[in-house]
Amino acid sequence: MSVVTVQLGQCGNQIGQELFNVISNDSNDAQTCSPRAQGKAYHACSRERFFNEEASGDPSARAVLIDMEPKVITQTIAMAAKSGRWKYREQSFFCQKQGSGNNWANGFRVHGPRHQEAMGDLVRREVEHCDRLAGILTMMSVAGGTGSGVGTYVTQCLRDDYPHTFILNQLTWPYCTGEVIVQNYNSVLTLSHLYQCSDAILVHENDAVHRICAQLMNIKHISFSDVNKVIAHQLGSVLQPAHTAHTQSQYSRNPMGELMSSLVCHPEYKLLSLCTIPQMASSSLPYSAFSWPGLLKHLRQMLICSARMEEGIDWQVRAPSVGQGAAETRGMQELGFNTSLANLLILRGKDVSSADTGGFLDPALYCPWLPAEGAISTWRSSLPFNKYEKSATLVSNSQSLLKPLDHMVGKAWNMFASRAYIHQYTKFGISEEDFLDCFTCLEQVISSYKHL
Amino acid sequence: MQRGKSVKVKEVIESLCKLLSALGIDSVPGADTFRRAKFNKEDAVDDLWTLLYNILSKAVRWECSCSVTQPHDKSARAGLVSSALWQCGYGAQWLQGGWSLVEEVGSRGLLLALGWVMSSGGLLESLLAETASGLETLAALPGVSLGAAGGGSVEWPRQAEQWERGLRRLQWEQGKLRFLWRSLQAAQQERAALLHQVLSSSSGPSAPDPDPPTGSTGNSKELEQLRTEIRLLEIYLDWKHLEPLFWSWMDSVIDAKLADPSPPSHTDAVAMAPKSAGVEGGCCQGDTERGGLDRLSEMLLMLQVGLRAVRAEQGDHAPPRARHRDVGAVTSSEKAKIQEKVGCRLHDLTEAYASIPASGGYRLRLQEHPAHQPHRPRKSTSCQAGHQGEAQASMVIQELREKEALLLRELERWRRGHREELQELVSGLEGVVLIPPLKR
Repeated sequence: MSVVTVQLGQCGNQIGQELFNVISNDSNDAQTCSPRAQGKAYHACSRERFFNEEASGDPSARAVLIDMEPKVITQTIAMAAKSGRWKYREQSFFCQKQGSGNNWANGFRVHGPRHQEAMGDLVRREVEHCDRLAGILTMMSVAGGTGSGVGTYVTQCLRDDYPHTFILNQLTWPYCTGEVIVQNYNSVLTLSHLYQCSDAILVHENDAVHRICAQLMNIKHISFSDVNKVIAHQLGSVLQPAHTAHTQSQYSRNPMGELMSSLVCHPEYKLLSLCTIPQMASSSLPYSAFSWPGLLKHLRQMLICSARMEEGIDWQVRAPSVGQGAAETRGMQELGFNTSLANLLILRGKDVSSADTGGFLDPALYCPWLPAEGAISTWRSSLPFNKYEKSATLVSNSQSLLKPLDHMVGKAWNMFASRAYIHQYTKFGISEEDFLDCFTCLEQVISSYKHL
Repeated sequence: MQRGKSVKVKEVIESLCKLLSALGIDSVPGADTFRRAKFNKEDAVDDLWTLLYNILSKAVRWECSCSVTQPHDKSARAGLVSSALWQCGYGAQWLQGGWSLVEEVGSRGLLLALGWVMSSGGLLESLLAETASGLETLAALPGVSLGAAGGGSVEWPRQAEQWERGLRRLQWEQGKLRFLWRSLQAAQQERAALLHQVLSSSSGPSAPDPDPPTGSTGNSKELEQLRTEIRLLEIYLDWKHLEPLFWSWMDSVIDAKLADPSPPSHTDAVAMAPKSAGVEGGCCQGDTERGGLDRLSEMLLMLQVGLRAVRAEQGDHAPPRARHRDVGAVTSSEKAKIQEKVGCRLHDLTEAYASIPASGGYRLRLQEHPAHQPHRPRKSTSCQAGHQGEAQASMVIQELREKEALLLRELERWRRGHREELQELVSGLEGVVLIPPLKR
């Protein structure tokens, strides 16, 4: 059972490479863990999930690299080869000479359709190497042209080609103060299209990750590589092997399916956010000790007040008491309470079986139509992840992305209202009606989450 | 219909027959039967009864008591068909006119009934959906409305919020099931792939299984079924393509019927289903509708005439009689006398009971600014200041006191009168002593 990763654009390729690095390192570390058998099983499961065994003995990532410029792909492949632990398979990439110029329409209407067959063949070859395809993970940013435009097109094609396969889109949202002037247009177009064809959309906000780098990792000059490392760590903690409720004794053979059936069963709610605790500079790891009750208490409050890191959590925000009506719940939401639809808690590390997750079973955390027992799932693995003795990750389908989404759509709408840069899109065949459709779609999403 | 077209018509009807038999309807007659039915030939009657029975018995769930009826028992069959036609809203004359008319109905009448059945409620589509049950897309087609004539409407739960929560929960669970199904499918694929690996490594690539086991026979059965369904869908598409022609031919059947002078009582029995108008807005259909319209306007006329008669009768009852008495029986002196009497009586009454309506005419209210005084509805005859709407409390009290005094006086007068009357009566009786009640 394996996951095929599709890395799209500069952002997707860089994060993908970091992700495989994390996974490779983590599963190698697991081999040295005690008890041996457990570490071996973890290693084998992780290997099968993300790597092919090449004839030469080197694992090669089950990944397809797509970009419209050669620069980043060349770098990515070189970095992977340099690690000495894993590599990308030869000829598993697709690139062109000319980028999409940060124009979603160019990627979606020109590059995507033009190279559909070549990209589809690459993915098919990876899929054929899997005994069982657990799902497809696409990674891209929403701000640029290639990642978002081509990525959206590729996701649509994947949905057509693999109608019954789980497709998880990992999206990186740009900084609010943005590097690309039309990033909000690109984001709106990407999100609204993906909402139709993807099963789940896992979002990382650059702003939040940047704050984690600055405040938790104490990095002075934050580069994209630092941001990508944090994202890769968070993703890895979700995707690495774990015991789920259905597989007590062995690692889950259906990670994507179980992730989705615990989080995104309702087609109106597909946005997932991630938070991980603890996160710190690797140099301070050996001097830190954590207890499960402390970690889970912090994580719960991070969920309630929709914080991405444990630093500076607002402890004043409380969940409404259960018997209260919708009006009171709205009132609490005004005060910053984050209502969840469903949560997935992933605990990794020492004494994981002793961790009490009762705090997440509180019905007050969830929307009224889904009972708390159905809304929370827990995965556990007793092996430490990525050198953290204990770590907890929460994948949440909740209102936490409502505010940034609303902000993004609002900014895009303001630009659209003054018809700014629209001609750049209409010249590639994205009409104003298409824009309006996308706005409508996202307004519906916003409304759905607002009334959770 | 022109000669050139009639060749086409045969094709159209043949495609319909093909579709009907593909839908599992037994003993579908040939195209020629339809043609003969158009001209009301006797020999087509039997075939059409059978066809109608077969179609209706597929579309309508008979009550269990009916289903045991022998299909060959002609009168029972005709009874079932005519009641089913009646149920689905077909109101031809021969259905209303009792049993003898049902037995006498010609093949053209039956053909028209068939047209009605086909055009109402998407009969063919529902049969198609039932036959090709594997086709999910057809599930969205409207169900047959024939059987649903007496069905009650869906009752929505009172609380919309509760309902919406339930709905969302349902959608969630459905999504979960969908994901589960996908997971199972992936597991199945994996098993198949592993099995293939095991088999190919154990038996070697040179020994393919010569006799495919039950799995492949199951596959071929499925394949066969799929082929049948595809064939059925193709036939249906053919029919859909030709359907407008069929309906215009059907219009010509109605024309033929209207033109046929022999059974005049039948001409006004034609009614067209509403759906057929959507299928083909043929010009001939206007004629049939006109026939129905004529009948309706005739009915309207009759109703109007009836209404006028009733109204005239009512008119005869009241006002003219009063007129008669006024003019004839009463002389002018009598009239003046009566009027005087009435006036007198009225005056008495007003004087005696004036207090009652007057006191009832006041309403407590906040004093309004003079500029906003409401328009007074009528002038009061009472001697008060005239501010009927906004009388001062003191004035009201004064007025009420006056009324009270007046009433007390009146009461006293009556009492005295009655006492005198009683005394008179008592004096007339002998040996009886009446003791008056205690004075209060």
